[in-house]
Amino acid sequence: MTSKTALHLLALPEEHLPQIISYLSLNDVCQLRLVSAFLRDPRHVHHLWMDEEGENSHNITLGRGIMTSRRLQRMLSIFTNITTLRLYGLQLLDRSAVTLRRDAADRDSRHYLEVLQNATCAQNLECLELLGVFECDPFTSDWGTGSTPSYSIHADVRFPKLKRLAIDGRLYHGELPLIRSLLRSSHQITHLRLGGPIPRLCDFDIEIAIMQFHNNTLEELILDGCCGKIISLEIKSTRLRTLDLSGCKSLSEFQPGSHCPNLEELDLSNCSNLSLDFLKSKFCPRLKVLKLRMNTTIEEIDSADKGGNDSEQQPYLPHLEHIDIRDCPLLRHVSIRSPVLTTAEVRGCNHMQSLTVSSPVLSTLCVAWLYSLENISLDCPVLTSLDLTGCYKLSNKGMKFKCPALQSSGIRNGTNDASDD
Amino acid sequence: MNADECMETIKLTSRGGDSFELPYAAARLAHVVRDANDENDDGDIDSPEDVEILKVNSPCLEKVVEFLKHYHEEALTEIKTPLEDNTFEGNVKQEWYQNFLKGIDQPMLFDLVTAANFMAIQPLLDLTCLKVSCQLMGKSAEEIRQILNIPKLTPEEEETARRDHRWIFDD
Repeated sequence: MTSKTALHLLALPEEHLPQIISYLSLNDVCQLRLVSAFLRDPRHVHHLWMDEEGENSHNITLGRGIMTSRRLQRMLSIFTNITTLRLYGLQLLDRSAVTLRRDAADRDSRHYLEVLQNATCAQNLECLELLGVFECDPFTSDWGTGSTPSYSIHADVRFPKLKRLAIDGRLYHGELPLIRSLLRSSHQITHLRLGGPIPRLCDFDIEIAIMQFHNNTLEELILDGCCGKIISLEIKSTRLRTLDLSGCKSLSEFQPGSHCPNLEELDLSNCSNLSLDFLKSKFCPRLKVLKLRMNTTIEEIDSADKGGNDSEQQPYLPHLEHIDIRDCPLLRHVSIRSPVLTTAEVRGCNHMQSLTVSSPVLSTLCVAWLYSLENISLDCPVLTSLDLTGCYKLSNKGMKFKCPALQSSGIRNGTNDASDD
Repeated sequence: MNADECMETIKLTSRGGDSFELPYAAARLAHVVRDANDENDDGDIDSPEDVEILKVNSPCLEKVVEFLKHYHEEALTEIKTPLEDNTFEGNVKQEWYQNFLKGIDQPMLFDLVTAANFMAIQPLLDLTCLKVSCQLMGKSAEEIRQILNIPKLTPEEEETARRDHRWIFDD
């Protein structure tokens, strides 16, 4: 490498360095800071991220991917200008846990969110993501002592500019009240993801902490795997585009109704207790993606507006591009009509008896191993590939195809008689 | 007329006086072009005019125009952190964009970073900055120092640096 090359890199305008450094992981940033005094300037660092789950994780400095609250504190005292902090797959370990057990009065200032909010960067932080993290909690059975989780509210947790908040993993009672406090004190969040067993959120949190304060800003709400106490959910937001409640197994009441007119993606997969009666009404007219996988209550889906006779039926989800209804054991009758449907996933519905799909753009459909399927009606002019493997009850009489592009060579197993109406 | 649907072509002229022609709809990815043509916030424009890019030399502007033309046909997928990989190809999956920076020398790469910044072409800035970053990923401080041809820190400087970073080494 010539000195001319080096001169070029260091001669780059200083304003480029934050972006170049933003692609470097925390470990790389640390190495870079050991190179020269110029590169050590904390003003160059706006984004910090660390991914211990990535396949190419090469953690040179932090060894086992452990981030103690004390390390975090020191780190933030150096990188005072950051606006984004992303920690993925880390073990968040409180090294002072043993001390804490001896002196419970020291409990304050050991939680990560508290460390964060005391840091200089808190005023500027716009994005905070703690994903796939694991907090070693000194008060859980892992440490041999028991303790009642604290639900007290910390009124002073404040990140005034925070827009993106994502927390997912195993965080214990130390962080939960802080998360609640954070939700109550930040009023600009546009993207919120709370997942895994950590938050143990309840209806009250959704209603009071999330919807009351963020109703006017939220564009994406992901509560995947909040299997705790979310039972009833009423969401009214004109800005909301993405709503993911997958894995909220306690959820039994949910009515999007007409209160989310701009919703484009709805994921209710694995909400096994949820009644999907709202599907029978007109809802979310802009919906593009609908996922209902592993629902154990739904028996019928009909996305057609039954205003007139069969030929006049209009789709009431006119923008639906993707539907996933795999592994719904009670589902018997499905009728999907959309002018833009490109993907329909229906495998694993072992009791499905009839399937109707109408889409001018659907080119591939797999209905393999629907053992109970007796009737299939397809109006898909560009469909070229259809997998009927294992549909043992399906006979020629039960097939109605308006699929001029579908050749017998495009049909797998089952029967090879594709009859054009 | 709406700039996005504008079929007219314009010329971008480099510091060396060479001109490169491209559709205005492609060129307007560069905010410097939009500003020169007084494009308003709604994307309305009267008649697009040629623009002089006096801070960019000819070989670099030719590359930039190549990028603009292709981006109009196939946009660059957003580069998100944490990165999936510590190689450029592992993070930029689109073949054309992989090849776009393949084989170019370091001075040209830095010229492109500077040009992308001056012409306010964010996707090109993202791509070129990522390329530079990938050269530093996974390297030790000593390796980076060799790549950048920077003299070794004095013992005092190194001690200061390590003191700054005590949180890394010590709890």
